[in-house]
Amino acid sequence: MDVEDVRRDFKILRRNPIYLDNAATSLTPNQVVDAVNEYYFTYNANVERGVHHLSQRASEAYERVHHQVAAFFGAQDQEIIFTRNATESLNLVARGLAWRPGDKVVLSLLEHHSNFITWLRAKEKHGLELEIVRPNHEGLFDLSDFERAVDKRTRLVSIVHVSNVLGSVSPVMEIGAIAHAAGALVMVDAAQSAPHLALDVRAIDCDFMACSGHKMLGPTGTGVLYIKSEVMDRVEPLAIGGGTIQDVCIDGYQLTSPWERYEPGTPNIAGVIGLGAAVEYLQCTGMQNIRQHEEALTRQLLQGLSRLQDVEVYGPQDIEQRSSVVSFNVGRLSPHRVAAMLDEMAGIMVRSGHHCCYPLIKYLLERPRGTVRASLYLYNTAQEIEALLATLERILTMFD
Amino acid sequence: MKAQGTYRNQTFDLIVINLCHYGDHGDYELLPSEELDLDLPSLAGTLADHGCEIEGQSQNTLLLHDDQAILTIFQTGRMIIENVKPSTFEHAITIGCRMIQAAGGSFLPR
Repeated sequence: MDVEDVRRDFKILRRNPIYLDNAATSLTPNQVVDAVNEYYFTYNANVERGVHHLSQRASEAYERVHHQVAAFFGAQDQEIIFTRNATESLNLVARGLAWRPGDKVVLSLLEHHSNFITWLRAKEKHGLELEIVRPNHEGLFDLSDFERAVDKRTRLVSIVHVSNVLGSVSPVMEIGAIAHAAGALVMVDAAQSAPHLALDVRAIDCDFMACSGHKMLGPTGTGVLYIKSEVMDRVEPLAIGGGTIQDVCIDGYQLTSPWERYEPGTPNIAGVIGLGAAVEYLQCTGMQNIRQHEEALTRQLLQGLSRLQDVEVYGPQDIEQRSSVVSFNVGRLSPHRVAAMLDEMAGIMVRSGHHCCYPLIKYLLERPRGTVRASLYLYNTAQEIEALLATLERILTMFD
Repeated sequence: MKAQGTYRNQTFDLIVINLCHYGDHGDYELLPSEELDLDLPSLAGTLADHGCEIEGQSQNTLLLHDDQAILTIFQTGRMIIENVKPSTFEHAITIGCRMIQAAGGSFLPR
């Protein structure tokens, strides 16, 4: 993978911004913007059940993305549902399963609020029992604690694949095996893994997988929910209406087959078509190549940060066990101060605060003001990492 | 929420953004619609005379706190105001306006 070739595909990078906020949203390659424009310029029409040729072309394009995304994640076409984002995907499952009081759901302290407060609400509404597994001191998922938490009452295990604060990678295959052995369903929040790691839902044997298109080079407002075909009948759609029915009479209705029953009303057609172009871009670049590139940059960043005095880095040091999300704090400076100074002094864009992970920030890191988070992607360069490290060094000298 | 002010004959809007925060205090970013070119060394002196503690400074950045907030002020007029209590836009703007006034600017009454 030639990073300069990659960068040429991103018009926004022509002005050389140092964009290290990829865990929040990724930049969008020209190919994705072109695909969205092509839809609006040449075949803008609603999908499904239209007789005219524009509708047929739009329907073909929309369905082709179902196939592309399914192939990208090792799923069958009908197992892929398009949503607005990973949050909606997670909520769809939480609201769609039939719960009984006393059902147990196991989560970890690493969860994003989307996979945490969703379950706090389900607990209140359905009388669920939640068990929260703590990671170890490095932020790595603790399988032995998890094994103790899962029992015969466990209906679902819902676990983040890659922490959006620490970058730690959870052993989702082992988690799935333990959960299935106890008769529980398994949901993987892949919002931070799908853009960066080759992900095969059959290989990891999850029942549900949620991710966001906008973090994997796609347009905002696009998300994916994978539901394994064997469990699809157990999940009620979040909403129903146009496009979701097989038959309607005065006193009843019959829902149509998957996936359409989960995509009510006119979907985000342009966004989904853009997502298809994003997936194609990732496939052409190669997920292994992306991972290799990010590993080199992450190693450079971690080594550089370790050389800076008074910088505290969180998460695992072992590159194999982490992604390209790196959280840290600089001396006694608040994360917002550091992020603003990086932006103002060198045009470096990072995120600061709690990253929608209050439980992790409060109970594991015990850093009430949160962290500074640099998150890398395929278009970032070694020079950008050097610039970040040099600017942090300048910030530190302000207090000498 | 906005305030309108002037600095060296330059009129600008001060835009307030609520930042991610925790607890009952608030963190805010104040962003002038125009770059202001504040004289930070002079501002640091003025604020120190008014009881602010200067934590660090460079040509482009001034770090300080007082009993009301923790402030990061850039030469451009951009400010990060943390620990704002009560955590309201109005209170954050009041603190921001005080800083701009200390630098020699003024604000239109809201």
